[in-house]
Amino acid sequence: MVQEIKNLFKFRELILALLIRGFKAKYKNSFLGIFWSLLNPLLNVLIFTFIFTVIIKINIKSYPLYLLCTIFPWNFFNSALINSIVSIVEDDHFVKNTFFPYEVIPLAVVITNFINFLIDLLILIPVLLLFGRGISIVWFYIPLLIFIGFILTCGLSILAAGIYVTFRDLNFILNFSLRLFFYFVPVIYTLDFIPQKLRSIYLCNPLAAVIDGFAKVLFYGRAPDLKWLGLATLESIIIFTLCFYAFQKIKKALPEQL
Amino acid sequence: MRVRIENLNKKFRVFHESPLTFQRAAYNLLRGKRGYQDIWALKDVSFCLNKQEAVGLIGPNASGKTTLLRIIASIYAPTSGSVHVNGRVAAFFELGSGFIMEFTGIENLYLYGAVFGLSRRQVKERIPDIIGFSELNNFLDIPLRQYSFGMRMRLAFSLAVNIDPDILLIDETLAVGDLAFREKCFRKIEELKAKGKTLFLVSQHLDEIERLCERAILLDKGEIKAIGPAKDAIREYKITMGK
Repeated sequence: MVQEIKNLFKFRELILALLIRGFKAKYKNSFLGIFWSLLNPLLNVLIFTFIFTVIIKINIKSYPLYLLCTIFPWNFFNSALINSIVSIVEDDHFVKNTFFPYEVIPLAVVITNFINFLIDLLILIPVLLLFGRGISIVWFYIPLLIFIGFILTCGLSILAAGIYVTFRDLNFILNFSLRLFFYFVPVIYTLDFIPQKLRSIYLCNPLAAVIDGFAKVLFYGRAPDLKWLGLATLESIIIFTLCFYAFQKIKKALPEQL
Repeated sequence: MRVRIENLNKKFRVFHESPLTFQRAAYNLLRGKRGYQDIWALKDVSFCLNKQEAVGLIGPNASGKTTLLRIIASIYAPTSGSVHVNGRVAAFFELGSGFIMEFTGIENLYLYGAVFGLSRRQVKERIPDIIGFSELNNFLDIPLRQYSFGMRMRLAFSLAVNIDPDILLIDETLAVGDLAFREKCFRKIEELKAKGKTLFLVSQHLDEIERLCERAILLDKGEIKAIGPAKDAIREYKITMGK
């Protein structure tokens, strides 16, 4: 396992080359590209704002701002998984014709989305300042939140891309699951809406803990609950390890199935 | 010795419904259907490849030639038997198939070099040679979409021979481009051989094999039918095909 991760480092040039390709494909070399990638989450913010402030009156102050704080981490998780699941199949000519650690292909897709996410966060900062959420010491928790989200997404994406090679209906299952999963993380509502009794079960979901962490840090300017964040860290590391290990098991058989 | 293969067998599991889905797998399971059949692509294959030689691999379609190459390149795992490879391998199947049309020639070289585990610096060092060999210097900053098929082949071949592996495996496309460039490809292969490299070449162009290779292996239905001087293996191939 450690050996395999070291091996990934040897192929960092390939990851970089795939990253550049990913960005070129995404942005078609235009600066407007960043705008396009922002459009989707912003549209969602508009829709949810309309639904939850005009139609159903939700009891959250500055609701659009809350959405902005929670939608980007969700968007990263969601689009990284959706983009990476098909990545190995789409790059079949590499996999069939050369021997290299195939996990770099989904990994490069996750990193492309991750860089996008970081850009989104950078854009969010002036917006937060504009609405009087000044820079705070609790922002030091952001790297931890990002780290948990990143390795969780990496592990799941790598394994999903591997299994998809054999079972091509996995992407339907994934799309459906993500749509359902969206309601199990505090993106459109706050943690307060979850009954106290259920909250400890709810926060066992590492992504829920991470997104709640982003809401606490960015929106409320409060420190996240370290107990749940610690659990989420542990869970994410375990999930990553299991997924990565499982991928190593199925990796050898991938070229034959493409 | 660069490559030693002993009693190699390779089995493929071919699913009737391909690609498979969870839905189909569950259906097969419930119905008690197997839904696949096993095909032996290679049966008890043993041979060696030495330094400083070019060996041809000939045989009809679906005889297991490409599978054998992929196993040497460790893309496929053998089902049983042993495969020992000493040195770095570069294998080229469907020359140029991994190129990205939106990238320029140079960008494709970096990407492909990276696939073979070369660093950016190592690719950079080789670029003058690749450009020199391909004679495409005026086109390297143009997206590959604008290249003709022949030009793409030239670029791919130039990369293949300049990647500098100990063992070079080439499937089907030994010489590409126009007459003059093909001659250049042949000379380059001779040159690599003289430098101590091992070449393992698959081709249906038997005259090319005869010209470049001292030895050849005839593969038919996954079994070695002849191994020895290229001339003899080719004669054997022609006899088996003739009947």
